[in-house]
Amino acid sequence: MWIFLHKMASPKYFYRLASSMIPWLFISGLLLMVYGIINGLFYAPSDYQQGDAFRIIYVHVPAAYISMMAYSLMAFAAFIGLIWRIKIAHAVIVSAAPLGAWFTFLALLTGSLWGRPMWGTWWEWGDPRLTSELLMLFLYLGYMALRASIPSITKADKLSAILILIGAINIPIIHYSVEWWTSLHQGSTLLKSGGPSIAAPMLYPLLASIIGLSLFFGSLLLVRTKAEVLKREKHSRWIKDMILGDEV
Amino acid sequence: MIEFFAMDYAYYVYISFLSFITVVIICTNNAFKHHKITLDRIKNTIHQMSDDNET
Repeated sequence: MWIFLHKMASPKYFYRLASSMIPWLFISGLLLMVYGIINGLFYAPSDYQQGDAFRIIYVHVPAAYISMMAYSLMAFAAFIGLIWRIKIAHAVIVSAAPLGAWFTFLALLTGSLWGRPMWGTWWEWGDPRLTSELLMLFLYLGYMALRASIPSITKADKLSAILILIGAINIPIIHYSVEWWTSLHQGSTLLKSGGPSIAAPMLYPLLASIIGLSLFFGSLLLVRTKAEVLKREKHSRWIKDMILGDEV
Repeated sequence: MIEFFAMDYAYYVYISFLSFITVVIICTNNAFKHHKITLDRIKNTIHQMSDDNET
């Protein structure tokens, strides 16, 4: 494990490994997402209370899951980057932020579209799940704004990683908000004691959407991180050799 | 199978799915474009430096 992590800290090794992993993650993620979306939209049975509006779960839950997973990954990478000063960790954070922001926006948008027919409102400021998710979108945007405002890469890496670590306190708040406080938002469907409270024909497309979007997100993250590695390592000998040897 | 137009709350459901597909396309396009632009820029610089060295 440590040998693998040590190898991953090398930009050259990371770049090559990422290049070989991207097509597999991209294609398998896309196939699972297509399966999940088509089955969720047309083949899963309607919910006995929510009717067909429940089908929004097949896009809302994967987006919300990715928004939290991307931030958790950024916090983990920020910790690694600050403690061990590994450059790849900062490249991963830079690359994950725009993707995380997009999926957080999507989770808020689809949640709002689900809330309107079910709760009778597009938005509720008093709801802890909604407001903490909105706070996460601001954390993503704040992180990108902070980075853009600091010209020195080393300084930007350090300060923005600290911001990410401070903002990580919001992750358990988002997750447990529906249990800790009275909320319009329904409780967890999948991650609950006693197993998921959803029938198998509804569950499988949902799992396919979540796993598919995770793999797809992984492929996009690697593509963006490759670009960030290129930017940061542009003066390195291995980049020059790779480009002149055309192994890109 | 549910019929396309017979769905309850079809407006909310279809807008949600379309938003999802749109965000996926935007993120994919941005990621690959960003990588291509960076790579092309670095390739040009390195080839330019290589040509300068030869001359």
